[in-house]
Amino acid sequence: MTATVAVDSEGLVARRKKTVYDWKFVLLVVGSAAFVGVLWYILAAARVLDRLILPTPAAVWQAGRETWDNVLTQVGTTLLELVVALLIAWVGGLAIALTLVSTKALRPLLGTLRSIYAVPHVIIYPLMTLWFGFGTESKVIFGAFVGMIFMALMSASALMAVDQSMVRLFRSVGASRTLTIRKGILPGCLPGIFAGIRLSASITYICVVLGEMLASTGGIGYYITNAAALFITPQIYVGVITVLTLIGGLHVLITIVERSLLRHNGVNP
Amino acid sequence: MNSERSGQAAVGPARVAQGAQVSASATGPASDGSATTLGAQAPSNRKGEIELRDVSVWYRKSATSEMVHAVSDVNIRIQPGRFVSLVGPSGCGKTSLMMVLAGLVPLTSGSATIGGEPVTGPRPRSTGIVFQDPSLLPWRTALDNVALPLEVAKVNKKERTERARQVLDLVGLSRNWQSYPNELSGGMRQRVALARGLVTNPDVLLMDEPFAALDEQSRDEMGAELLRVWERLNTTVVFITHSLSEAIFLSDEVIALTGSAPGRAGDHIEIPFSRPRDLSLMARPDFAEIRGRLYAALRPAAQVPGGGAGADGARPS
Repeated sequence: MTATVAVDSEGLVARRKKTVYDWKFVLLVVGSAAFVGVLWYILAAARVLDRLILPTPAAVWQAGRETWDNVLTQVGTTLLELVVALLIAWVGGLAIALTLVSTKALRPLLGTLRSIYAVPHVIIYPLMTLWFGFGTESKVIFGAFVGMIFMALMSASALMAVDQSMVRLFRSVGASRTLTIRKGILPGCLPGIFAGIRLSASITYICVVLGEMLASTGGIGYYITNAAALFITPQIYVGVITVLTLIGGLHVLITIVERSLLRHNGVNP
Repeated sequence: MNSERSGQAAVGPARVAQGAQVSASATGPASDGSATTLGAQAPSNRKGEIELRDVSVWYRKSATSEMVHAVSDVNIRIQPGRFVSLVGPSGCGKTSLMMVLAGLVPLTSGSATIGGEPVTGPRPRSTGIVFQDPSLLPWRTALDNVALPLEVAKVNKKERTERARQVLDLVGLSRNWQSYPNELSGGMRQRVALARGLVTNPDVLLMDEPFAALDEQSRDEMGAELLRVWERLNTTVVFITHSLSEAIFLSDEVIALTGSAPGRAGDHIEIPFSRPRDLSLMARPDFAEIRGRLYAALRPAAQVPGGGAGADGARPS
């Protein structure tokens, strides 16, 4: 988790060994989680709030152990919905961005996408359930739709900001348009595309869990809503912690891939 | 760099005339007897010869869609294997001319040929280009950046790696081939760009103010380094610069471009100093005298002692 610098004998080259996360960043995350945990324990122990509203960490742990099988099943459902929705959002969003940016006549559609994105997403979810039912499909399509628009907008911004001197370089060495996109523009846009991947992952995840909470038959959102309806507070906390853990894990995965592909950047996330 | 070099001949008006004859006889750079395999073959008669005839360039500004007359009726002829600089004020069309030769900007009228063949588009096999900005791909190592033109030309990996290593070695970066651009200094990045321009062993190397972003000392050292590399090759170099001293130090011939939108080709000044050259050349009085003539040539209305007035219009070399 450390970064080291080596300077060659001419003193001109500094090579930084990249790691997935800087140890200071890890310490900050672990420290923040520990701080929240301790604060929670103190507030619960001091009964600042009713135990029904703020149960102790031990009670939540107990609730988690008791419903472990159910939690795992719901996490499996959510993960399945999330993975399918994300793949559609990422691939579809990038394809839309490439098409709109490379075809001048279609570029005004980016404005239309921005307008669609400005609409509160949740209002279309009832339609999704009407069209696709209460099962997995409506969550996948809802998450993929919103995530794809966001991914398309972010990728289009990255593609339009591409360094024109790089395009000129590829022209000067006789590269075709396809080769220029594949070997120049796409790798050059990767930092921007990864920003889109990261943020659309969060938005897709929100939509999937929201969909499960509003109307569904399974998933971690359903688990939370069910616990809330029955007023089993510790299970609500189990659900919330599980949701946070999943999104944290997803971001770590994205960071690992990003760092391995963008080794030249030398910037820690 | 290369400070041990010596042997500059005394130069006077007689030497200037001799220099002009050399220019006309299509002689390449002086050989130091240590030519590498890179570009070792002698150029054929017209290989590397550049000719611009009655060239005018108009282009449309992308921001305002306004039409700009960049250069007008330019006639330039450069013999194979020569090092020729184009100097002139901003807006005189230096870069437009280079873009025409690179096949990246179409001619509005006139003709441009390299090696007797009309330039109708990029010719990466025979024309190398070094831009003002090194334009290195940050996600590629120095080696992979240099090998890019060969990769586009579908040369197999082993061959292009070997060739790229050779050229990196030639420009003095044999130890940095695995470095990414953000790990290299400005001068080193420009060397990588130079290596990329040379990797296809081109007949012509076009350089658009390649050292403009460097500090003065690095710029002089890079100039000397460029000469060291060029003296091992048979490449015709067209070098664009704002710096008169740089142009004189590097070149066999300097062409002054005058005017602005459109620019026109003015005086052609032969640089008579023998090669190899070293940086101490810049301190000599005859260097200063040529610099004075060149400076006067860039002022269209000025009377130029011994060098003719800044010509209105073109004058083929």
